[in-house]
Amino acid sequence: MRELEEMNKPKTGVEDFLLQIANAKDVNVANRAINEALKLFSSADTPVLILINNYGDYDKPTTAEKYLNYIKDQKKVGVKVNNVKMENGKISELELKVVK
Amino acid sequence: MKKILFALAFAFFALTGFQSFAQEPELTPERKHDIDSLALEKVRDLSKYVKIVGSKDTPWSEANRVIDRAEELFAPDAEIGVSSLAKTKIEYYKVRQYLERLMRLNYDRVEIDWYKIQYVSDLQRQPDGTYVGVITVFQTFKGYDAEGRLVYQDTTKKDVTVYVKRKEAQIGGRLIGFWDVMLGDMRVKETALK
Repeated sequence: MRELEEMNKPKTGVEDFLLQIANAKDVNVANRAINEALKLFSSADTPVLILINNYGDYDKPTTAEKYLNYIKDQKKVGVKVNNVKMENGKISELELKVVK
Repeated sequence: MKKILFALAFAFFALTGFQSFAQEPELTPERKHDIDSLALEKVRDLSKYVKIVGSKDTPWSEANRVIDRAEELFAPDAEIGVSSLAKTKIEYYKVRQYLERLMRLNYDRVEIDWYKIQYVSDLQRQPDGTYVGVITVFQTFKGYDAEGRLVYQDTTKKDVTVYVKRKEAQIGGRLIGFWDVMLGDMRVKETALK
């Protein structure tokens, strides 16, 4: 049970940050949330993949930094975390899935 | 005899079967709908970028970052049309030029809104596997002076060609197939006061 909770931590952590960034009252607050969120990742260039359906179709891959800034610009979160790859306690690859 | 039959079968598949495997198969209606939505979403993303770049409240560094992201949505030589009620001629600018010009407009406040973003021509598969369609956008533009007076406004209808192509990228040591949406030229169709 505890192992499952540990495995789910990065997933919920990312989703929480996405919501924080989307709902930030201004650019400075959003940027602070982005800087905190980036600490979860191996680097700002950590690959982010976005599944658009259940048939294995992906949007163009992006990076952690670009995607978090995208959420800041668009002010909405239309995805859920689908899969997380970890390396040395950091996210080395993030897969999101579009929520319909 | 067996060798001849085998050679014939091989030749048959080489000419037809292997060729069809090399091309992306036709999409199911559900997948096609998802690709349609993906492309439409890119134009909606662009509407947000235009709003951010046009706003005088946006810090310079943020506006420049957003210009980079907006430019990435477009094909390399794409152009965006600009019209004015004061002129009959429509000017076309490269995407970066258009956005930098937008950022420098001489108003104290700018409001740009896009609405009725929809397909006028559905994505259609071309012989090379690329999907091509046209999306229309209505844009209202309002410019205010330092006293808060509305000094210019117009409503423009623009059409943007959309290209969607299947591509691959190497991610984490494996090949990921994805749908690359590229926007083409954005052409002005109509301009009116409201």
